[in-house]
Amino acid sequence: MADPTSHAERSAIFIRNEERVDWHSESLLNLRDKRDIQTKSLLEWEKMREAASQMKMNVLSNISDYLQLFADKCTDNGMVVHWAVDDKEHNDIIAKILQDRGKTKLIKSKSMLTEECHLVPHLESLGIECIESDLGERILQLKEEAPSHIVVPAIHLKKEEISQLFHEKLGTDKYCCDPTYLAHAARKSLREDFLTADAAMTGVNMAIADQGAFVVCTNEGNADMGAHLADLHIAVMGVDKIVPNADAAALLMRMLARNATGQPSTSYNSIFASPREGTETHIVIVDNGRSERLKNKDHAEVYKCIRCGACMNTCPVYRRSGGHSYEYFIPGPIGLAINANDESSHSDAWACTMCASCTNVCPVKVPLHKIIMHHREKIAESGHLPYAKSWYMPTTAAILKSPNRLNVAIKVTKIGLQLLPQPLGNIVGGGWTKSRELPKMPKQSFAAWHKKNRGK
Amino acid sequence: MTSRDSFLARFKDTAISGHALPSLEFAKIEAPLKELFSELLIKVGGQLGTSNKKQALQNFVDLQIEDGYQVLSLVNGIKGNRNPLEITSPHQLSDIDYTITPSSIAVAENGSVWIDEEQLITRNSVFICQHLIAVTSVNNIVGTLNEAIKKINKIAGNWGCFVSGPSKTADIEQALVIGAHGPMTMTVWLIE
Repeated sequence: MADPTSHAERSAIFIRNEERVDWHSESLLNLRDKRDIQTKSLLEWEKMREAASQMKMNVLSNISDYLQLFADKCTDNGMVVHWAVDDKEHNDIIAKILQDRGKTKLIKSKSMLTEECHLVPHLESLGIECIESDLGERILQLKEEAPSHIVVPAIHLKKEEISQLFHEKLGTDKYCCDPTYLAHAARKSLREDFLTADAAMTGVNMAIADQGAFVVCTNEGNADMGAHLADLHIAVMGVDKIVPNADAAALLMRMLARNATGQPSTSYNSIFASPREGTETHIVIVDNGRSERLKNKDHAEVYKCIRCGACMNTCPVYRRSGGHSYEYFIPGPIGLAINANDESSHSDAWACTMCASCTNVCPVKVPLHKIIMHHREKIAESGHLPYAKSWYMPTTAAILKSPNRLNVAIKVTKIGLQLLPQPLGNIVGGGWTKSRELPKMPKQSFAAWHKKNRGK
Repeated sequence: MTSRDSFLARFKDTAISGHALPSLEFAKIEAPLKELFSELLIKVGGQLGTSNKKQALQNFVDLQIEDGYQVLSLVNGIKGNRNPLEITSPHQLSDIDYTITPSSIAVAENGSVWIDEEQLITRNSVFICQHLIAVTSVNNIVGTLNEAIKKINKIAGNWGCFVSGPSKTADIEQALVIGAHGPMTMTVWLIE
């Protein structure tokens, strides 16, 4: 559901604690730094980016053919394919698969698609227990919070908070904040869940069309542990996960972890092409708005995304406003881009400095900042600019177009800033001056200086 | 239930069209592959076996068995204390300390080894053990994952995994913790 407040108002909650903002920003920059070391170690990185981008353009050009090929091959391999047009159908299909087989405990690995479809609350309302097994997701499940990042979902939490949570929920020692101690406590607790779950769910990182196989990448081994114990494996995927062949999947496997966390590979790149003997594998392929977005040429390229999260790690706004400040459940540049046409608060499009760092680190060249820019234009055209922007943007444009008007405006502003006391200036400055002071004006404008010193 | 045809019809007139599949050939990494593989294996948290002789691995296994550990060996010529033929369900493996598995491909650029279902009794033997040991040969090392994938001639109807080091997580304040849900250690023995 759309949050009625703006990005600035949602950010205000996170930035109350300045120290935490700095810490959050540094943690993410650390990922960006590690990513840079990895990508520079590959001499062909830019060639790989271009190939990955073109490969995904080819996929989007022929998506229905590839989906059909993938489904046929999966069926040949003994897996069952389901088609879900929206979140409701996705949830209904999964509930039915589980209920028909009398399953009561589902162990999940991380899947942004199940967040998108609100699967867990739905299954729980039907009495099916759902356990998140990715450590970050498990922390958030116990804390009843949403992920704030697509790769490192609990990046906003401090170890002290996790220690307190685990003390309450898992009985760990109070005040023991050692990450190894906490992670191993979760390992022990979740091992029991793995052994007692009667169904497993995973996402899909790449669906290999010509093989009828899918790749699941994890560091923890949780997707595999679940899928190889239970006798039912349900894998869920958006249509955009398709790749033509194993060469293309290998290319993305080489890029994904390097770009996401700066690792040469995730610990496990697991390729599933058939159910284990005596068990079932079901694949649920989901549209949920993707076909509509793919019809818009200014928007379609968001589905080249491989969900590495690098655009978030590098984004100067995301790093400081936190993942919960965005309207869409996927935060950061890619979330802004995917949600562009559906955003209801008409404010998230401005949670962007247009620095284009996201576009430059994207391994598949999604033109993120251009999509966000286009989104701003759309909001302006539709008359939904926030009040302040709706008058100062056109006014500023009119002033900047004419040198005479600009000169007059500079003079007026200069006098205004000299005369107005700072608190009054802050009112004129609006939100911009909440944590900034208005600049001191120079005695002379550049144009005046130029005329005097270099004139004629 | 939406049928396949009505689902696919939704994707008929998308805005992107006419893009050909680009070349997916990339530069190979040449020798010294063994050195690069060893370096990357350590970087991803893995360990290198102490010898290139199978007998040394068997000696190591014997010591572990003496100390009371449960060892499942799927490698010809290496004898553990659990009979693979008696395993009928993955749940039976929950007390396994060491799994020793063959690997047919090793990838230098990320220190990973390919473990295929055909070499296993059950898929989860790779994950549920406390310690994983993969046995491969120096001759099986290739440079990149793109080279490795070309050597896998049968994905269809199977399962396999590129394993790069032990299981790990950094979900708590970015601190690397080895041993998330899978093995706490991962060792590759390059047998000549």
